[in-house]
Amino acid sequence: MSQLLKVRGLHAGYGAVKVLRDIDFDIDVNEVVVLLGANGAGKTTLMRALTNLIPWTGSVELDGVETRRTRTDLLTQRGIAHVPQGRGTFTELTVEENLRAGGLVLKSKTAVQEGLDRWFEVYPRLAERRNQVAGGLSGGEQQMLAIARAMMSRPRLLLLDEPSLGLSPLITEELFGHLGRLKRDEEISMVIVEQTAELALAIADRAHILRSGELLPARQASELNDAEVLREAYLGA
Amino acid sequence: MELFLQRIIDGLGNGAIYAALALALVLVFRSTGVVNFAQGEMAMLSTYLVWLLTLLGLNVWIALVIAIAASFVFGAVLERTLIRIIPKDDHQVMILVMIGLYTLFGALALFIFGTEGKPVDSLFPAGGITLGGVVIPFTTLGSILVLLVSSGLLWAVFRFTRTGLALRAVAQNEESAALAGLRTGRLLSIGWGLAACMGAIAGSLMISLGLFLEPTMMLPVLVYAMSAAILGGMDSPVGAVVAGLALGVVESLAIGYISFIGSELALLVPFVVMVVVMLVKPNGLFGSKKVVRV
Repeated sequence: MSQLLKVRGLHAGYGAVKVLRDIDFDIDVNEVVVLLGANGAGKTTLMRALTNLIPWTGSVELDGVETRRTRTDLLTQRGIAHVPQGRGTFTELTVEENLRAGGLVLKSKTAVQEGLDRWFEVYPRLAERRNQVAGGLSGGEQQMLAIARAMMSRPRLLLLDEPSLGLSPLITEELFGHLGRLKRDEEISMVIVEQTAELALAIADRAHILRSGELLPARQASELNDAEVLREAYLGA
Repeated sequence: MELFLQRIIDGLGNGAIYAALALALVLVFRSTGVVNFAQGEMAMLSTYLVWLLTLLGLNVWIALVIAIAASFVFGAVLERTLIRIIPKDDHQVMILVMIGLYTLFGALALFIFGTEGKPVDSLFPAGGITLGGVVIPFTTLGSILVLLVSSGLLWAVFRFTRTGLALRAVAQNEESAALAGLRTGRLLSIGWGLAACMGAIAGSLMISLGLFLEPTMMLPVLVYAMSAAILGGMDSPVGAVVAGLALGVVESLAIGYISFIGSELALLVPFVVMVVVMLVKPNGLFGSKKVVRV
């Protein structure tokens, strides 16, 4: 598999507080990587660093091109879509307007229309609510909308920051069902940050554990299905 | 009854000006979360440009169109060069900068143009239509029309164009807009530019009332516009227009029917209305509730 993203020696933090230390990892084309770790381990910080929402030092290459000095919006145009924690939908815009906003980076009108048709087909519940404001959707629907909006820009790398946050177990299961189909049907790589590991591991190729700002070596997702290993991740035992 | 209607008509005329400037304040607030105290002074400078252009022999409408274009550039450049570099969450610094701009633009106008009022051509002909004993001056009619056309155009841009969608997206959530691949910086500049355009319109409507153009001209208008913006909900363009017109009417009625108010105390009217409405509806008439996640 060819390499999509290459991270070397990444450090990031807020002011004097160093959150991430010397992070190295790779993502291949069409690979799904899960990032596990306890609260405060730096998972969100790492995601925000990858889309240049916060300053960092080190090296990140997308298709072999350094991204450190690239503005967030240009990274999106180059193929990274980031669904932030809390979803980041435009709550006062309608469902359709949210999707159209996601497709603004596409140059042609037909591409936008194709995207709308496609994602309304994948998520019929969004189609039913296309003229409702996004703020009125349920948590699960908003998460679907956030993902569909990110997909509108036709990304090659999708970053999902705790997509299950605030969702019921049933809806979370449905969500990961969707993500699994996304992996199967689209040419896309994903990084999924999760606290609840089991469902995420089921669709992942590899998993990384982030512990107090340091990334433990990647493992095959199947190895990590074991409760012992997870306990190690969260409790450091 | 005729007098009552007459007062409402007069109030709507003034209200159109308050609404135009209130709309400018809302555009800036929505895009950058800042209350631009200098919006009135910027409008005043735009109006001086109209005056200068008419001195060159241009028709006042053509002068206004040129001034609107120039104001757009000025507003956008101001956002790009000054507002952008101030940390967003540092409200104290932002307020100081806004007061500084307000003082600077006022002083600049005084320095260049002096205190002496300048007569400027009205956008509208003198006279009016008489309908059943009520006089509707062309100025009033024209002001309301200009307000409706310009705010309608703005609405159409926001509602139907790609740039408009992008502007609404960035106004709501700048980070998500950047993540959606939108050039947020440029969009915020456009927001400031559009606000300055509405300011130029408000200023020109003001002098069309037959007032002389002077550096302090827009101060009372700013007070009304700010009240209207807050009343409307600060982030609601529709609210700003409705509240601006309503304040104009309330002002006119208060001066007409409450004898001790007169023109000296008229500036109190918007404050009283504002306090009363805020007590009942803290988010304004059309405002959205803001929930801040920690």
